[in-house]
Amino acid sequence: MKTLVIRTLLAAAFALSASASALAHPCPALGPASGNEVIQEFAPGGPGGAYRPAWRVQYGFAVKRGLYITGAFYRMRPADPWMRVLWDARLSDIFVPYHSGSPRYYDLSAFSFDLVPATAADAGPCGRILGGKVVNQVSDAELAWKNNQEVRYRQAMVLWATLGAANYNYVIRYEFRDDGTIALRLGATAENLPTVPWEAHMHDGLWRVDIDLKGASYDTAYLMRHVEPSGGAGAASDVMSVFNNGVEGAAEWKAEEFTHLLVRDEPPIKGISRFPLRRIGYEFMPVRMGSARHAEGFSKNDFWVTAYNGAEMSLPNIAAYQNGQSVVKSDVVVWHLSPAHHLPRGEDGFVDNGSWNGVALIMWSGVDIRPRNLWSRTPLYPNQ
Amino acid sequence: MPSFLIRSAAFLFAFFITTTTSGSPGFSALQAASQQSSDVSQATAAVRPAQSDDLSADEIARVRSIVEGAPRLKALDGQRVEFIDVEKIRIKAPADAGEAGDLRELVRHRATYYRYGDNAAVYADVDPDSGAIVGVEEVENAPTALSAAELGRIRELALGDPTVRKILGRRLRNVEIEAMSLFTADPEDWIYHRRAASVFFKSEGRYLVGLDVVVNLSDGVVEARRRQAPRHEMEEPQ
Repeated sequence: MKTLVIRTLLAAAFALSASASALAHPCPALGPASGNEVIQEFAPGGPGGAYRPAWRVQYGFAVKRGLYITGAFYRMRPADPWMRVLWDARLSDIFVPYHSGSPRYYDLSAFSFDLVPATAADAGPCGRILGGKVVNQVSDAELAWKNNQEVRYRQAMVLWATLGAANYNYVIRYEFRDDGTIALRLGATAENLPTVPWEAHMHDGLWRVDIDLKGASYDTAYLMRHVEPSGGAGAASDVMSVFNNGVEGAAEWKAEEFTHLLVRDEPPIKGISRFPLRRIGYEFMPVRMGSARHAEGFSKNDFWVTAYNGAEMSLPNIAAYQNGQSVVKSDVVVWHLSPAHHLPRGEDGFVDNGSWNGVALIMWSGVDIRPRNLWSRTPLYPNQ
Repeated sequence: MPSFLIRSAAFLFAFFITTTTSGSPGFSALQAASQQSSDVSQATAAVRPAQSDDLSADEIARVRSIVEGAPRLKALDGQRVEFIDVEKIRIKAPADAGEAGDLRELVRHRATYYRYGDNAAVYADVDPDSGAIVGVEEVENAPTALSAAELGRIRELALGDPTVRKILGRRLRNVEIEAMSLFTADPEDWIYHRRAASVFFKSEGRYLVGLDVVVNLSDGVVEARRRQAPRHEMEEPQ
């Protein structure tokens, strides 16, 4: 009897320990949300916890458009003024060409697909649902910095929603990190095209990002390239040049050049003695498995920069938008093609009694938009 | 024995409380920080609910009457044109209000039409305050959604096709239909510059396989054929 009681107690202790472990990580506090705006402050950092970064993010959602950002502002301390970073960021379209040449779907503009209602399971134990369709969470599980015994996990405010696109679902995700970085992601999931479930295809996220650093004017676009070899044996260099000689145009992403794009607010900011003048920028760093090159003209490049025009919203029409306007000290819009290549596997499903029974696990693509010289140091960390 | 059980239960309770409230120092620090002096950390529920940008039926009807009643809107005049939808778009005010970033936002209501004759989308932007048409743009071969009326015609054409009826058999009575707009960049393709859609059939919540159906609305033609059911095995690419 005594043995039985001890076994029972040990089993209970194990179960309690397991559930306690699951509960040990408290939920990060969500900031206030009102209307279509969320304000999120993060954990303090830096010497004495002097810095407390925050994002103020405005968003919208609609049929045919999915989830999009209509304004994003950042600050490092509660006393600082909000600095605008984005006027607008969104998928202008999702292009899905199949390898045989047909079909070729435009999953936003050519359909009336809507966001699916979000569920409590989507939000998880720490998230919430906004407007019935948008999930808002704060993530703090990814490592941001490690130095021997010191560590900091980054915090990020996330807004995401799911577009119901017939057999496919698209997860549209925006992440605003405590260091000022913005991560745009598109995830393709649900099940393969039922008529040709084994046919390889791509899901191209066609992003349009209207970046307004400290206001709309005076932003310049630069192309950043790594060049190696460069000069002497073993030498490499990095080249920063005004994008397309200063006028609207396109550029290819080249793996060996680590191509990325920088948008910089040109008026310099007076800084401190070791960094007296600096110019705030944000760099577009693709997160990708390859480059899409289809028959369509718009897929021959990976980046485009155009002068702002509120009526220009479609990357497939990008050729018509390039009419020689300046992208120097002006209001610029960055476009990026971010592809995911889906080569189906046996795991994707099977035919059962004349019907398709499949699961397409999520595949992500996207771009990180990271600050450059927003600070003259890294404020959130102790080694300063 | 009862006292042994009570002591053990008390120990387990204390263990549970300790482990659920302490966590790792890093997380505890984050939690404590989140609970301090923040002007934004208390609220978890939205004060005002978020709203979608979808326009109401009344707003859509108003925009349609403005656009379709415009006396000299040549883009739509006397041609086979399909109304698709109206959406809200935001435009920056011309002047930059400064570094604070509080630029002025102008709202436009954009009506989209599909013009069959030259496979073009026609966009008409309306200022909702003044009711004026402030811009019209025509784009050939632009991806354009199917209207509800067109979806109805696709259903009618697909389900009326003898090949489709034969292949579906008894499932014809309960089948659901999804139409997927088709585009091609290949001038040799039979749907090039045509208003076309492939049709999916669903029965009991599952997509049916073994049937390829394309409806060409421009010419009122259906192409339907039986397709061999896809194999389970996936061959490695050669």
